[in-house]
Amino acid sequence: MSVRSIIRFIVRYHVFFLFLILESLSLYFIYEQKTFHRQKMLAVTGDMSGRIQEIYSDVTSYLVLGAVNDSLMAEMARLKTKALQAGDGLPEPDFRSDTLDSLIYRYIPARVIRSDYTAFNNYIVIDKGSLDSIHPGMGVTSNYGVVGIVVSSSPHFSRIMSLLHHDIQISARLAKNGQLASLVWEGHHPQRAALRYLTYPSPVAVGDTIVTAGSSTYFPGGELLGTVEKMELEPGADFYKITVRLSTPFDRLHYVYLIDNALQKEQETLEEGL
Amino acid sequence: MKINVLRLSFQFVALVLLQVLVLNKILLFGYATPMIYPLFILSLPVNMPRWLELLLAFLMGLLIDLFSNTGGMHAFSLVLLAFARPVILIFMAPKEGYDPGEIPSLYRQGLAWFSVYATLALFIHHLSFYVLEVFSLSYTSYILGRTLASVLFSFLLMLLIEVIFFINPKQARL
Repeated sequence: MSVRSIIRFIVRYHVFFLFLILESLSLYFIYEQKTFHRQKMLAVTGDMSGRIQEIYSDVTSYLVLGAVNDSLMAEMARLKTKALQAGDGLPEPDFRSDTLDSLIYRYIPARVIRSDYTAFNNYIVIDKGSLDSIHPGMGVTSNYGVVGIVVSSSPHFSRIMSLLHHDIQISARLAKNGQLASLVWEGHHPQRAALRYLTYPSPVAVGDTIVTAGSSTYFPGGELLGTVEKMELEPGADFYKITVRLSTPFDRLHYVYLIDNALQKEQETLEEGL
Repeated sequence: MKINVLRLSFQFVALVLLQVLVLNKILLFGYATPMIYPLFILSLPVNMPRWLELLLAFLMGLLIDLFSNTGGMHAFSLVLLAFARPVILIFMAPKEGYDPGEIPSLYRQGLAWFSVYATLALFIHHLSFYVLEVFSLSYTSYILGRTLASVLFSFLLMLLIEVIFFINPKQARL
């Protein structure tokens, strides 16, 4: 085949070739984005799309100042109540297993630049990155409750795998009696998750609070996850089928706290040997 | 053929902004998220050069991807739609054929024709998008559910936009 006939072939089917090229490019971008948290992220592209989104969120953040103030006031009120209770020598009402928690865990505030909640697997981008000592594996909460886990960071931004992700599983417990279970998102609704492996019998009732168990390295115990919305027990089953209403509103998330666990490496190294 | 660059640019920007700022944040009944930016490709003139159609689709999809953290899912689906559109147009051609430079619209072709044209195109686009998003065959019911619900929602919105902007015959011929 001569060069001329090859060129003629390409010219003749140029639309089809262009189609193939554009689709392969798109697939490449998708691949790069999907494997984002597994590979070492390209700092340049991550920062660039982060900056674009930051501009967008700078513009829109003025519209939600009222709501942000309200949530901060609620948080303050909660902390004040807690401080009063501590001063009175009353036990804390949640499952903070250890007073040493306050030395092990450090909270770092960050601003949410974008929060997805309509996708199959959702991510959140925040305005702090490796320069602010944010690293993959940090747990993320808010004044509403648990948000997710950091999966990658560029110098100025980090990406969080939100609770609304099919790969996430949080070890949880019933605040009432400390019974262990596991929280997963099954899709569909950004406010509902499923609580699995809560064994029968249990005093669980609709409206009960579900908190983190504190057994993983991501969260201290007692971080709020949600409340039991619906529960049923199939005859002969060992586990309840429970729907949890998540306490974090992912569509109105503006500020979060990252949790730095000083003992994370130590615990992970030990558990790897198990 | 004359292409009205001004009208195309306006449509392009308006649809991208509408999608990124408003529609991406909607989730109806936990299933439906409308995507109406394919309307830009659907209302290109029928004899648009195909390479230009593909490039415009790629550009628009990539722009939306950049703002929605979706890699290249919108780009892939829109390029697929742009590639399939001429085929759909040939299948649906009236007996006397299209006028040169004709813009497929609710006003020119009527409700029945436009409905088939739009839902077929939206189905291709949405199905491809949700398959790429989930990327696993164990969630087939999720993919189909979201596709059908979103196609319905997108189509109704698209009709609304057609009625508002293109029902005036003078505007439709701009």
